[in-house]
Amino acid sequence: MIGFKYRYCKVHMARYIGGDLSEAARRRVGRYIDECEDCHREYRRHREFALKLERSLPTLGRPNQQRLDQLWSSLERELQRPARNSMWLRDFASPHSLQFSYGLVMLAISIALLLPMLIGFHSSLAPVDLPRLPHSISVDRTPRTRAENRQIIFATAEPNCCGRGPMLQNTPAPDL
Amino acid sequence: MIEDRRQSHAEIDAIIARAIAGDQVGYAELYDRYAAALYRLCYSLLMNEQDAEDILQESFLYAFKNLHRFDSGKASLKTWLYTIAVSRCRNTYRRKQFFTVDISQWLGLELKAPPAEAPEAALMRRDAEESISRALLDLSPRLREAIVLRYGQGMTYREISEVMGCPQKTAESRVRLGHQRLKQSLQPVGAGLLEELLRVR
Repeated sequence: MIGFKYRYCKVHMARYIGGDLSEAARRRVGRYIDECEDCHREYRRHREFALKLERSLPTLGRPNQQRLDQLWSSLERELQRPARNSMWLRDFASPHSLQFSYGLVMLAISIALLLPMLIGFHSSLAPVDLPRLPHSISVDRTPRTRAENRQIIFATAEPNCCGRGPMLQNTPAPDL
Repeated sequence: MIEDRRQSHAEIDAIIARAIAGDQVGYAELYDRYAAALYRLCYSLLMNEQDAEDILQESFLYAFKNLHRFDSGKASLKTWLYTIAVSRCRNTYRRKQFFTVDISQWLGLELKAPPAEAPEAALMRRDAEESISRALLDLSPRLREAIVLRYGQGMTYREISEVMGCPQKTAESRVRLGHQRLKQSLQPVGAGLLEELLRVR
């Protein structure tokens, strides 16, 4: 039973000393401290440690008054300095201005992404020196020899080339 | 007690109003009131004099330039200043996550004993201070903050939760856990070290 009481106290002691236990738990720990010697010893040990921390930690890093005064002097100079840059920064960093800035950045990114595509589109529209396409195909149906019938007459799309009327160009069909 | 606190709040509000109106003496009064405590807080969290001074200066500069934004209905000036300092300390130890050596500490320049202090007393004080600093540095940053605010600055759990930006229950459990860890890490060295630190001061 004492073992259980001690374990219970040990678990709850820090919160008991810190004053953040529920009313029922606080009363229970208090009763165990009164009844059980080990619990009482644990309480005293814990309490002493907390007290020592409370007394020793504030002594850590005690400031040098002379140094604090020097810091104040430089702080005072900073405060007296005209806040032109900071005002500009504040205006620039205001919520509306930020939205505007983000808008500008997004626009710049969009242009940067679209620019290569636009350039590519225009370059595809530019005249390219393609091979001439046949304007019309006609087959001469006059009786000829088998080899002659396989001739396909191509007429180019350039009428009156060199002032001699439509230029006809005979191209022999592939030999099937 | 409550009356005293109310009076003190009214007094601080008056100083703030004067400072906002452009009275330089108002700023000086606020600095005198909080600089030492804020320095101790920064030093206890960072364990480095130079960093603590830098953070102190930055925090005051920010606070003074934004004093018009301070709302005494939401928090006390002390809590507001501590919040600013703690957030700057967090940035600093985030930047210094890698192992760094404080050259002044390395060369033994930091712990200067007062002239009247005997050499043995100075040595004991240094040992005690170092062991506490080590134990604090072994804690995680959040636990260290909770312990320093609770035991070093004597803040209530509510104030700690405001400064740390967490629920009050979380602040309580961080203090409890930090207390346990600190006790464990100081026990092997000897609990007498704390006593020593208190005795020689």
